[in-house]
Amino acid sequence: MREERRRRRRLRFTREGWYYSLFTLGVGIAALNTGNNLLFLVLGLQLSAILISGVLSESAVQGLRLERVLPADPPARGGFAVTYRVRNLKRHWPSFTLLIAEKDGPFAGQRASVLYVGPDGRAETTLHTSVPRRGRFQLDRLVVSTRFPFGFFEKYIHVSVPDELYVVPARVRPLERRARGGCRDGERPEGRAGRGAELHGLREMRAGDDRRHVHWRKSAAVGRLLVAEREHEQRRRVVLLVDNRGPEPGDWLEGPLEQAAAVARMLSGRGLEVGLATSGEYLPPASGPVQLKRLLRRLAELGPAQSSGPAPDPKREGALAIGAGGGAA
Amino acid sequence: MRLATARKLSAHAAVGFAFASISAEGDVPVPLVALFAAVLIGSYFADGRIGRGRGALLTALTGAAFAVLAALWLTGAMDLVVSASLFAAALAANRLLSRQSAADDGLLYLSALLMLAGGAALSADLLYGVFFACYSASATTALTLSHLSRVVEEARTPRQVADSLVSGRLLAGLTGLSIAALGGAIVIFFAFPRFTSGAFIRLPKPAQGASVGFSEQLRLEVHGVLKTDPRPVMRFTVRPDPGQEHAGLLWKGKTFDFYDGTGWQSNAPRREPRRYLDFSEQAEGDTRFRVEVLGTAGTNAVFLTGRMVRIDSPRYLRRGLRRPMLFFVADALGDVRVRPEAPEGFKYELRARAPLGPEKLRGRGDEYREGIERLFLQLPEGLDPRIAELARRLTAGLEDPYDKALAIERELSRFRYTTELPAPAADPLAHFLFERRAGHCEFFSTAMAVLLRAAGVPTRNVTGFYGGLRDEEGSYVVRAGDAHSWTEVYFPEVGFVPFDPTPPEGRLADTSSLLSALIDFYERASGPWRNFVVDLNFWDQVRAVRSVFRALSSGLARFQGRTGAGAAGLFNYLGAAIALALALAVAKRLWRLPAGAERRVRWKSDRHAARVYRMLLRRLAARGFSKARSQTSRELARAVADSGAPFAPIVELVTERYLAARFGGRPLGADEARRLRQLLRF
Repeated sequence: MREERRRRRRLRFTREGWYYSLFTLGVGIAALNTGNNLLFLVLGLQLSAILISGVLSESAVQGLRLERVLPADPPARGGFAVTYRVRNLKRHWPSFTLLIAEKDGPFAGQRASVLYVGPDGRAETTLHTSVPRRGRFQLDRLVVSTRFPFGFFEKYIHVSVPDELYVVPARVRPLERRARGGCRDGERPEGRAGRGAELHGLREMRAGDDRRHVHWRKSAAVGRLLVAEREHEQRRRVVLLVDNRGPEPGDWLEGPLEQAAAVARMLSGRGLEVGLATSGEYLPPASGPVQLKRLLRRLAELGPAQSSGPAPDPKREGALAIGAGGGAA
Repeated sequence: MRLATARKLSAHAAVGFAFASISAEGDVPVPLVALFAAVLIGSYFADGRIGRGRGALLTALTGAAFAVLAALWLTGAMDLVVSASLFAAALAANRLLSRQSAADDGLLYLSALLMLAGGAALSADLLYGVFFACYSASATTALTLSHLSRVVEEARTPRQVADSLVSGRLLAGLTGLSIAALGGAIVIFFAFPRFTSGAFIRLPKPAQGASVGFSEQLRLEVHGVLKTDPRPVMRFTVRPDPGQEHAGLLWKGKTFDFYDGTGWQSNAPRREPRRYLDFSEQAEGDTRFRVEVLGTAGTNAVFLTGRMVRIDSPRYLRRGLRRPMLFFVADALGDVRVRPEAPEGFKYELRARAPLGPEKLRGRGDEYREGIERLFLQLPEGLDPRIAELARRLTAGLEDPYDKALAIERELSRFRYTTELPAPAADPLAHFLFERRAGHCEFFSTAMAVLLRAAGVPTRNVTGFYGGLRDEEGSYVVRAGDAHSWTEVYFPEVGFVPFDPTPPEGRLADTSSLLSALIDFYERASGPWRNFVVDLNFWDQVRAVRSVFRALSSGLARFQGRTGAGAAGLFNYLGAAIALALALAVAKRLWRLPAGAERRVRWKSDRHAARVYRMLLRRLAARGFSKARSQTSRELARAVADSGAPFAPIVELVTERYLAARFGGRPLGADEARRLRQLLRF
């Protein structure tokens, strides 16, 4: 996400900066005290270094355009990489030793560094991090700082780059279930003709039937043209029942949610239509990566509901209950 | 070059120059200088291996150094500033030996800075300025590289990537940074108001390397100054300027009245201290001198020349608060000294006239006051009778004391000048006159004084300097090698008049060597250093500001084509306002530089986008799609798409990119604009 607006610059002293400033103060007092011009010369050098430090560090953090590239819904406790792209808009001045960190959010304070961005140049850096808990996180301000050139002071600005990060429940080992029936994984015969893979029956060929469906061996045996009818198969639908009614805080919910996410990943991977029913909420079953993403994001956000709230309702679909102990029903 | 190597090189250079700044004046004992140099060089090559695992030992050694230095200071064996500077050097040595990474550099640079500040308190020499400039360049570079290295280490950047930073461009940038730091230091130095409080003042230390002594005794068989010693000890300017290359003046520092057979003594009573001394009435044609006696002279003797009229305005060469005021103290022989001691040198102003010529000295007679005869006709008992005999022979037939003096001076000028000391003799003067017939200036002056005394003419022996070579600034420099001795002869109603029996080749210092040429150059550079840096004070700053405003106002007045007292005041204010506005504009420009850069990028992006879109409009017009005034860009693109034209997707793409660049905050770079223009060749 690109930046939208920026805030005012700020300054922070490093440990060396404190020592240096105190020493400068001491030399200043000594120079004023004694009138020794050479001490004034030393003082001049120190103040000059402070001034240069201010100008160069200001130049380093200004004139930058920032972009944050987030991974797609990383799991909690799993490592992931956040990429920051920096473009230096300055025509002649490079930017050295930039440190980029999130001001807020789950990995606030962790820094990624960019050693050098040339004039009108681009650079990118990656922050390898992880988030301990699932959730939906609003990311906004980036802190861009530098201690260039001497490391005495850290000049930093806050740059607003609004973004949203879903950290889905951590990856755990799902409970194994065997698929039943002779159809493909995730599909179920319904006992009527359709366009499935299983054979439903044979009948006389009628006008409009596709010749490719003619069952030539049987037709030859009986002397009439017979066509093969296929079984009508419906994609298998599963609704994960997560009973999230319980007390705050919802730590007890983490295990079932991780298990639900693991099962959802597994079933979705097998082509099943997977839905989610929680207390008062229902996500209809569907298949595909978009549905899985939707489901995992819902699980990422899910918090405990009131104990008196409605029980999860699978709406007549095949249900897979995920209990507090992570068991299946 | 590798980043680590560049950092190490610059850091060692910075520490080396800082240490040199405290060693420049010779305050640091030579073994310690050698030890520190060994640590500096050793640590460069050892790269932290020496201190690895020996942290406790190094800390203990640093602690021991602290204890020893503190003890030396407390017992008065070492100056506080020297002790503190040496402790900073010990800290620096500790860090040099033990540092493992760039993160350890902080204390190293801080201790180097401590040494530099210590050097400022220890030395006022130009050499300090040289080391200061070198430190400034190397420390700025070292600090920057150290910071880069630290970020590289923290980010675990691959070495190749880090080393690729050290390019010609970076080195040029670092050079610029060093120049900026030094330039900033100079500007702040001159601009910082010189208000001083003076709560703690370091007592002046004894002059180092003083070369000339003017004690109460003079031994003939010893001479302390070599003619080849080129160190300047005195500098003077003359008004009116004689314009001569060699001033050829005798500068009297010490007078001796008592000859004991092997040397001279004096013990004249001293008079009350005075801020000025008048010797005679001032007159219009008096020559005025401004004299500086440098610390290298190692004396508080006030050097006098010619027929003295007045001396006044005694001041220290280096200003400082809470220093007691300088006074002149004269003695009965006319010698003058400054009180209290001014080991770093002092200066004063002097009025004098040229010595009287022969016509004024002849015919003064030989009627001397009793005091004159008693003091200045004194001869030691047991004086070699050959001396009196020689005096009689040389002055035979001469009545006038002036003629007697000339005769003896002429006779002695036939002797040979040499700085080689004679073999020890019971009577060195007799040995000089009758056997060796060669010697240094003190033999010549003593011989003349004693011979004249033996001939009944009152004399005294004088030491001081002869010479003064003109430098490029128009002042005259006297060197340690110019030390000289001559004779003063008394004439009634005139007083003592100098006669110099030493052959001319023995009067001047031998300054033909390369060393003296180098020292000349150094001395010439020392003048501005001393005037504009070491001695800068608040009033100099006020004068500088006034002169700037004067120049501004006169320039403005010329510009307006009018002058006058009324306008001058107005122009002063106007000049100040312009200077202030300029300063603010520069400051604002510096402060807003990056934001300006961003604006420039935006402006360029708008220009590229407009150019691309104009090209699109031209292409469409050629295909029969002219943009109506009431039509928006998107409406035009839609009209093209509805017509089913094959280039409709290109039109839509270019239109959307144009809108994003102009109004969507997505700048359009030159490369992308070129690609879009290529697309438009449908």
